[in-house]
Amino acid sequence: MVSMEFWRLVMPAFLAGLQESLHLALVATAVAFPLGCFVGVGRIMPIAVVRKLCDLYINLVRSTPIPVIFIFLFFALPDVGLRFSAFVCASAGLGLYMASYVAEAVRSGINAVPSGYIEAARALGLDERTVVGRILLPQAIKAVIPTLGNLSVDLIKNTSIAYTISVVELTGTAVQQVTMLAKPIPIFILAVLGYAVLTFPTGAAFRALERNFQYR
Amino acid sequence: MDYRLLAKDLSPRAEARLEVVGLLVALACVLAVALIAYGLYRTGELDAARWQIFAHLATWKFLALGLWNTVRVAFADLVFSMALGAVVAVAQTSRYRPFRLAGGAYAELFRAIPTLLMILFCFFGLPLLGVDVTPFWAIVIGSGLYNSAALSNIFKSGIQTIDRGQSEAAYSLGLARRDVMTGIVWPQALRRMRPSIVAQCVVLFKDSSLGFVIGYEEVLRRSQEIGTFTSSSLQPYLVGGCIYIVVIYLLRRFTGQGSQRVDESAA
Repeated sequence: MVSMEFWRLVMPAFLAGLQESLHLALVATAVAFPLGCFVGVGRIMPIAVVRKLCDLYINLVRSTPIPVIFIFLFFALPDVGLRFSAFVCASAGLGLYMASYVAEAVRSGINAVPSGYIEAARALGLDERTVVGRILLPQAIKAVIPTLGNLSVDLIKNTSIAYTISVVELTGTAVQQVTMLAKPIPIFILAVLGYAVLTFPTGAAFRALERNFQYR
Repeated sequence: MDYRLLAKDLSPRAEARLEVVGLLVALACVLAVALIAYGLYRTGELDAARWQIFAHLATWKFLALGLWNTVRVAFADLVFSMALGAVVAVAQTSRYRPFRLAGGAYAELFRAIPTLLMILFCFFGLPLLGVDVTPFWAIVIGSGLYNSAALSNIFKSGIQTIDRGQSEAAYSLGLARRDVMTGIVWPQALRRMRPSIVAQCVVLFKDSSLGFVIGYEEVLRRSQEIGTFTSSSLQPYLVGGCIYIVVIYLLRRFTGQGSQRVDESAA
């Protein structure tokens, strides 16, 4: 039902779309993870202003649907003279959005460390840097890896929403090809496989990382 | 572990240092807000004329109807996802291997597909296959397939956390399997998984905003239409975005997710 010719027509566009999705995901990750760690730690800082700010960021951004963020960045900001390409808006917007989830994960990872560990470390006379760096953070990281794995997969899936501001990634490519060739099933299967190619190694990598951290 | 512990028994000097940092951050915030306000003022975005459309009751009626469309599609999505998710969860916890495999395959497959891709498939793909789909149903089905898969996993893990003794006791009292599941196991599982189910409802509500792409008249699309009418973008999108944020924040706040924390999926 699907000829060789069909694949020859479709594949190059798909590979380009896959590459664009990958780029989006990488840039968004580069924004989301550092910013998320920053905000997550900020929420347990002994400075009230910083805590309030980070709290505001998490609650506000987590309550915003991604299309709202994308569309605001892409269509509303030019009104005040800030013009960015669709790719920049999508990757930055997705990064900002996912950062709020990473922050929440980091915070809960830190909360998951029983306070007895910290008290014991202090009772042994360790200084604050050692307490945080050698006792608190290693355990917090271990607790948070599975959540980060899920978030990374979500992030990759969310790159498809860049279609709302017409970034031609996998989803955009799929829609283009469907309107041109009118063969929805093979094309959508191809797109689903494209996302699987990105999400499966990510999930597997995080599971391997999780095993790596099972010390003792 | 909470922040007070991190700041325990600090020296007066360290306390003072933190105070200074706090002040600096506060100052930076005030500066940033002032800068944004000034930027808006300079570009004329704060002019009363630009906001005038929102002085009309008709505008708000228009947006309220958009919100109603959002709620409508989210509710249909919820019903669809809950029902299908429950069926899949029953299959996943069935005694028969083929059912378990089919349920597991369903959950794995549809959780791996981006929601928007599924919605677009329903909207652009199905008509080519001879099935006519309105934007409303494209959202319900497209997002429902993902959310039912996610919910089925929530139901399943809820069922698995119910102590074996519960069902064993019920069996030993002579109840049939169906009665054990519907009367003993499921009610407890649902109660225990309530925070996760609510978190999934938030995801589901956010999904309705994807309707923007296929021309479904929800809040965001209506904001755009107001923007076309007044030939401005910032103000309508700001208002539309705020409507979403407020509704979702309230949804999260007043459905008991507050104190119990769950890993909300970021989809």
